[in-house]
Amino acid sequence: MQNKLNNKIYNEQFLLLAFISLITFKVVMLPQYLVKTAGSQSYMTMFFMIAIEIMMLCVVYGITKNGSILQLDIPKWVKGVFAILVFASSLIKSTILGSEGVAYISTSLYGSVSWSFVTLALIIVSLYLAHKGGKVLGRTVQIFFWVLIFALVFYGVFSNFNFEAINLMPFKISSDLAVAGDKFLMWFGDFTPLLFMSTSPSSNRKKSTMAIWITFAVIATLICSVGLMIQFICIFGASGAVVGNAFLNVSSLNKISFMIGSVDLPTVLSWLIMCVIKFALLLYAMAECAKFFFGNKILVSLACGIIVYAVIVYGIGNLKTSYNLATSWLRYFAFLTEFLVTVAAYIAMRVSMNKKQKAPAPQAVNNQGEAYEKA
Amino acid sequence: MKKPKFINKKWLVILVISLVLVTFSFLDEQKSIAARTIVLALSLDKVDDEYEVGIQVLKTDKSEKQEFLTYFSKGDNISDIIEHLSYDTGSTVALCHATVLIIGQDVLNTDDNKAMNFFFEGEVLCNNTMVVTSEQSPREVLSPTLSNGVGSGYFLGQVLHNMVGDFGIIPITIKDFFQNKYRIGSCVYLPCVSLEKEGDTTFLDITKSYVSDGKKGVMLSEKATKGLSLVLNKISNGTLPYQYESSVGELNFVKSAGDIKIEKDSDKAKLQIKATLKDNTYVPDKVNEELCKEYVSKEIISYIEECYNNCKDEGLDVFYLGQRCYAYENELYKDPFYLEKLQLEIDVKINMK
Repeated sequence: MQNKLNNKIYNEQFLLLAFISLITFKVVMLPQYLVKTAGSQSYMTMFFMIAIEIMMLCVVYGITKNGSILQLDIPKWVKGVFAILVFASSLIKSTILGSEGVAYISTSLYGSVSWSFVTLALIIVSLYLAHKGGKVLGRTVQIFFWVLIFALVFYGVFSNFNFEAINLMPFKISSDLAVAGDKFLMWFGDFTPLLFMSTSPSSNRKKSTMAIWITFAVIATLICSVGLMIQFICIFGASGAVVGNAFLNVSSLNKISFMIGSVDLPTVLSWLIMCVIKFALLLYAMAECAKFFFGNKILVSLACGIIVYAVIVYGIGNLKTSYNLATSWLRYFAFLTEFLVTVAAYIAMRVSMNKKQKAPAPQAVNNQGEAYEKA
Repeated sequence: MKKPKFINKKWLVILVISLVLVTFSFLDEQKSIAARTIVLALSLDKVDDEYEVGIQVLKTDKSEKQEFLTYFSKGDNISDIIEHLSYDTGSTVALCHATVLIIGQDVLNTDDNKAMNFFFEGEVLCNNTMVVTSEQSPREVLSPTLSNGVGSGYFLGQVLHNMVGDFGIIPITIKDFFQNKYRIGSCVYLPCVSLEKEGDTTFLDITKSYVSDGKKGVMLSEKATKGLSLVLNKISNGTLPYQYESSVGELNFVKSAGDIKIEKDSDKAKLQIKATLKDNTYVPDKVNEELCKEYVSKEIISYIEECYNNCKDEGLDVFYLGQRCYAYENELYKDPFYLEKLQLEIDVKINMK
């Protein structure tokens, strides 16, 4: 029951977590890779994939509204299969995509700090959040939401660049877009960690307010992913193929950078927060899956952290290996797992609900459960 | 019976935090700002098949007098040269605050961008760093202290940042340099600086420009540079003199921008310049606006034609017509001689305020 309460989040928190989950690793190296493969039309690939992800997130929300994936009334072995698949997918994503974050911090932010230190720092913070559960993740993201808003407003007010729309032309759909979509599947489909949470509306929010929030979240997601991609292409054109860290390079171009030096700190800070939360989300998914088999122990979470640390530092170690792994067959496994588990979880949720509807509800027990949750 | 507690949770958390902090304090690769040499401007040239990199730094001590120091080093590899410069200066060289990079014409035309890639792809320089070339060697332009007591490299960076949007000046950042380099035709344009002396006064002249495609280059005169800035820059400052019949005056640029369109199945590139000008010199009643406009339009067209023809003669696609063909789905860009086949039609629209 305690675990059930730890993973209960409000709808707003779900929206924020979903936003971070979708955006974080799409704004670092992916724009460069997409431009290299699909040229100036690559923003279309980003739009298409993001649209699919948003649609899938609606399915994920539908599932979490009725409880976490591990709370469903389905055979235990099915839950076990889900847990194994999500564990593997989250391990792949946290190590391969996590390496991007580590590379950015160790090279762009600090010059040449060892990956070992950066990974250690990142994992300790993320693991703490992950072990505490979905509720703590939800609260954390809610607290830092204002930092993200500040960074976005700051960027919007002070950004300064030549918007060369000609770089986006011609508007044509080519096979390169599909090739890019296929090659960089690893960066898309990051929603299974959210399946372990259960969402509920907060008491002081009306349905209409929630609808506005959802609209904002969708617009913000499109602006921060497709919008950034368009901006990146307009600013750098084809030379974007050699520009790493898209968000950093775009945000460094602002009106006051020449007066007081580079003022990309708010953007960097907000991305770092997003990186920690995204990393924590993936570790959380891994820990929840492992806990399903080995029980709710801190050692289980620690073991997950150690595995991720070892793979990033000793297995991957540099951005080139990370890229090679991300574009290898592993991408199909990770992407299919994300989609198949979500679809299968939806079916399982419907089956579980049907079962519940058919079975006579033991009133007293339900009331007790509700009372416990309220408490 | 209560189990004995060996570890207090709070102390464990404090211990872990302390461990992490202590571990990170050993990150001695991170030099403090005091142990860094902040480079204000740098130069890059090729001398005897070797790169020569120069840096200009400001010596800071307790005295109020500013002293600009320049260091030079040669080598085959830019990162090695920067390491040498770190030894020379006595602290790690930090290039991220450099305002300008003065690059030799040899490097532009023979290096295949190897050295420039180091600065751009390696994120060594900030995206806003200005790039210029020079009539004299970059070393000669970077090292002197100008009559106003400021190091010429640093002064150049400051001036260029303040001249964005000025008529006749084409400041370009390293980011835009590479954006242009990756366009069809690989043509880049950049201001050409010249160090001039008049008696005891030393100053910088930035009225000319240089266009290169990585293999060959052409120097543009002051007039041609004005044409280039009218087509490719958004102008918000500067003056344009006029003279018709017995009237002589000067018009101020309020705003101006150029736009080139190429239709899908056409060999005509239509360039339109829209400029808003303001006459501040004379009483407006005495100015014949139509004649003034006619004169100014002709002047503008002559500037642009000089720029275009000089570059076209050398096979340089300075207005990125190939890229525009591609953008407007005109197949002409696939033809290696597209520049010769395209015709530039210039239309100038002047608005008097």
